[in-house]
Amino acid sequence: MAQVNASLPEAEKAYSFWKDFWRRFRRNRVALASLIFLVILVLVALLAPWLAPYDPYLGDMPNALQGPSQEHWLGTDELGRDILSRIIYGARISLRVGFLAVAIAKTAGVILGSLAGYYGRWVDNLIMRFMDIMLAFPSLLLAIAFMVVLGKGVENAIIAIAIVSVPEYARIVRGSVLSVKENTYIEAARAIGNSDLRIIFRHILPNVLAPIIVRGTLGISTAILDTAALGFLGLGVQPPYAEWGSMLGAGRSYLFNAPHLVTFPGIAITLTVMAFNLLGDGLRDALDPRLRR
Amino acid sequence: MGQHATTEQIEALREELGLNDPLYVQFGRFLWDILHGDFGRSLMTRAPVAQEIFSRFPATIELALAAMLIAATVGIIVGVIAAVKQYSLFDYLSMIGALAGVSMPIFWLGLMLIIIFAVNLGWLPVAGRIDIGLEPQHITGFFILDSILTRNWPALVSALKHLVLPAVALACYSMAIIARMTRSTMLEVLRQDYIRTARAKGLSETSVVYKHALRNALIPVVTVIGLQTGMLLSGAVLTETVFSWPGIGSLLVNGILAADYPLVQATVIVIASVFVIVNLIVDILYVYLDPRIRYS
Repeated sequence: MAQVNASLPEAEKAYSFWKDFWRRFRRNRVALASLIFLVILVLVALLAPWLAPYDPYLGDMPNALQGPSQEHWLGTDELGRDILSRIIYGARISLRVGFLAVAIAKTAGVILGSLAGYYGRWVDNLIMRFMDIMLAFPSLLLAIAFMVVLGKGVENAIIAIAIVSVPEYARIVRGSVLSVKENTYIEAARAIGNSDLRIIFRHILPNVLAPIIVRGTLGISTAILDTAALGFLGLGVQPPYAEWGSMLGAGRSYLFNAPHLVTFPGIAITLTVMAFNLLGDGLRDALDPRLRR
Repeated sequence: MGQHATTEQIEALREELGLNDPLYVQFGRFLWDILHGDFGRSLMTRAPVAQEIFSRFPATIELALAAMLIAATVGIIVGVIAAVKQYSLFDYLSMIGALAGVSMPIFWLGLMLIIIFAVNLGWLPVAGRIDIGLEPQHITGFFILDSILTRNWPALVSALKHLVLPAVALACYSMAIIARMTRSTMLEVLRQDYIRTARAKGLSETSVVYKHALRNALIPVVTVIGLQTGMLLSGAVLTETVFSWPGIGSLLVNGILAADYPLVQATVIVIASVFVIVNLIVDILYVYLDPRIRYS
């Protein structure tokens, strides 16, 4: 059987891997539902200008702090802006920060982790001790500290959240590289004269993909929560931009007379984060049965 | 100093603050001072930062301990029941609850609790640490402990009432993690041969679950509890802001908003140090809990 597989052409092998993955993933209905929810959310974010019933930045003072109604499904905020429209636009920012922060962190983490794992010795020591220092700080606290240095704003929030999540990826990749590089096929690849870079990218990294994808999906949910927290503290996205966390921060002053201001953005955050968590769990089960709890 | 300061005055202040020294000398002096407990002075209040942090620290510790107590107790109980009754309605509901717990922003939960229990039902206070005028005599700085020591019962009731909502909000995330962890380790332990042996020799189910299974299942749970204690400190930054709790978390946020750098630096260093120390303590405790582990 092993010999038959070995003789299959490359394309067909890859095809069967993804087919196999999809077959296992599809069986997990909760994960599938999360995926569908997130696809819809991404579409909503992309099509925000067409889907939002109102301009999210247009104030309407006479109609400020209205509860949910026929005209404004989720009510209006302290400036009379439509909350549903602001939540729809807010999805753009939350998803963008989530995806970008994880993409940056993943890239840096993969590079640092594979260098540390592949070369070992002083390279490993230098990189991983630095990562250990960063892990000594609670991640949100470190992100806050970076925001204080970098200044407020959404770009800086992306950078801060990306930086604080690098160590986790670096650790996962380093661990996987350490176990993969002892295999005979790596020795073989080296024996036929492949360069270190080619061995890392062509032969080692594809084998550590599963944990990185899983960690990345779960990482997006952390990134969205951290963005919301920074926004809530007034450090992230600045007004008038609609962002779920800063909407909560602004709505805080109206807890007594307009609780809907903080209710709906919070539900949006919770559902999105929950969907990414469930999707991550589903991917883990489908990609690597050994990782299953 | 204002815009009308003379060159001499500016120069004198630069000299006083040590800004004329090379950067590495300034940094060295900064580290040296920290090691001697001197974090500099707050730009807002001109008071020594260390003093400010020290006076607000008990509030944060009190909040974090209360949260940890709630999270560990409820988390372990829910986890055990869910594992023992796997695939029951309770199991499903509690795991959905745990998923919601890790997905909810902690500050949103805090706001929701305020809306429900303080604004609508009026059972508990909206914010603060104790009612005005009821503050107990300062002995330890922990209001609950101080009011018990001085037998000041009205203060104790007020302090407890103020503590409930922030502690529950802060506990929720850790509670969810602990419940999940307890459930999965319990399930693993319950499948072991020695559990079958315990059942076979006729022990009661309670004895099997609590004496034989839980004690072994708790080892990894303790690590998680330790790690969560660290996380509670960063969660406190958000919870304290929501509930206007006068601890170091809200001190940090105030410092950030006022660009009070000495204050921010010191608070971050203190919280991170506590985080590291707690993790170290957990590592050491591990040896006592699991005799198979030895550090050489």
